[in-house]
Amino acid sequence: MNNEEEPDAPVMDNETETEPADESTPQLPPPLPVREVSLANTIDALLKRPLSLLQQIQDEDGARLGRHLLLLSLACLGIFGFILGLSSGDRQLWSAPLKIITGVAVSGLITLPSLYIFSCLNGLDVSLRSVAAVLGASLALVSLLLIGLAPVLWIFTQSTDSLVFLGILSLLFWGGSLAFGLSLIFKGVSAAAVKGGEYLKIWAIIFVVVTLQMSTALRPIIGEAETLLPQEKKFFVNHWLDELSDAAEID
Amino acid sequence: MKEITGKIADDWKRLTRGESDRLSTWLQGSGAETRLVLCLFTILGGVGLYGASVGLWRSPLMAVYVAVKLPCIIFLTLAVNGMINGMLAQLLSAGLSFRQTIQAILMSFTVFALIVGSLSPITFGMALNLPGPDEAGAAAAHRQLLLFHTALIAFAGIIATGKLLGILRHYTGSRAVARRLLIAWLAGNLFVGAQVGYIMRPVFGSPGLAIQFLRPDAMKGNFYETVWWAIRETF
Repeated sequence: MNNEEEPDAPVMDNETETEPADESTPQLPPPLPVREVSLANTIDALLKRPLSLLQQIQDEDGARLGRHLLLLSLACLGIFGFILGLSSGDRQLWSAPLKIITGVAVSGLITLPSLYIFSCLNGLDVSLRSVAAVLGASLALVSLLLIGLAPVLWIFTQSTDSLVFLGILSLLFWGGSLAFGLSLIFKGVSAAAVKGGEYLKIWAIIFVVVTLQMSTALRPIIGEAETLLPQEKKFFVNHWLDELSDAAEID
Repeated sequence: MKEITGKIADDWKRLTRGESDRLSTWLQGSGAETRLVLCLFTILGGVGLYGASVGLWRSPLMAVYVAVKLPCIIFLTLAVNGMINGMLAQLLSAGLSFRQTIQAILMSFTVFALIVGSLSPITFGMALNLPGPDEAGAAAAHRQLLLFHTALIAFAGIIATGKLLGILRHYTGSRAVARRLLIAWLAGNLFVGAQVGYIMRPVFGSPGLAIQFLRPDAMKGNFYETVWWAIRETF
């Protein structure tokens, strides 16, 4: 009835687009309405029309839009980190937001080359810039969803001392938001009329593992420690098992 | 006055009958067309009245407390989840704005309020006819009330959710989108609602425990840890 259909603008340009359209090639949508590039419009587009936003990044206003996405990600991750830091207070009030922003930024940067290569392996004719734009928009969407979940997180930071519980809750929030963020990348691939996307699924697994390892490498993000960064290197699974075992001993 | 009460009764009828086409126009409308005030007052009245009947078994003071707290639990849950519910509606292509998201959920809670409110004369009767908290058989009466109210809340909740699904189906024009959105909203609202309810305890007022608006340790611990602890202790 009032269902706004998003114009399926192709983002990652595929070779087939230059050829005459056949039955297997999706019809291009009509030109998008011109919208003023503002932060509010960026948030609106990210939620309602992410594909057209991705196309817009490639256009003239791309740089401005990119800045908005960056600003949005920094603000949202910062606030989410601050609320997470409230569970411990003191140094964590500034270090948790800083670590979350750093963790997401570093994860994005170190997985960008592989996203580019894996996109090409998937048959996409893309530039590194367009891949970076897709990844940036995807991370902005994750950040935006995290800020939507921040009031829920706040309720629990104020009512529980269990770091394990907060850790699991944060991971659930991160996983749920990331699922939407990664789906944006896959939508971009679908819009470019490429079937499959197996290589990108592998990349998605790599990205998830990288972000989880980053949360361990930058620990503690929840709770307190004597030093700002860990003295001991650990794989994230081992870290989780150690934490669970410590919590069980305390009980 | 008669005209106003007639209009209110008509609107309540539309909500309980689940007239999706008409209810969708409420979502699209603005100002008085949205029936936002009607929904808010119906929830306050219906759930408040029902809450009073829940607390009355413990004491008249507890009845007042629970009459205030039950609508608070609904509104706080909506406030906490408002942002993520709105984002999910947009991400899942439901075409609902943040205001419309809150409105749709409020309409569902209005149906819930009408059901529990309409049953409150019965629950008042139960509270007055069962052995009181200081009498013999108080523990058994408390258990029976707990079971009865849980069943009643579940019953009203299921019906209200069904009506919401009807509205969403009509509004979005897609059964799949409506179902996905409903599941996402339900998951979030149940998850947060349980914790908000835990913070706002006591609701049923166990015999032997002090009558209080909030426990002194209201913000200590959470619902899920308590459930986990109970499971571990049981097994």
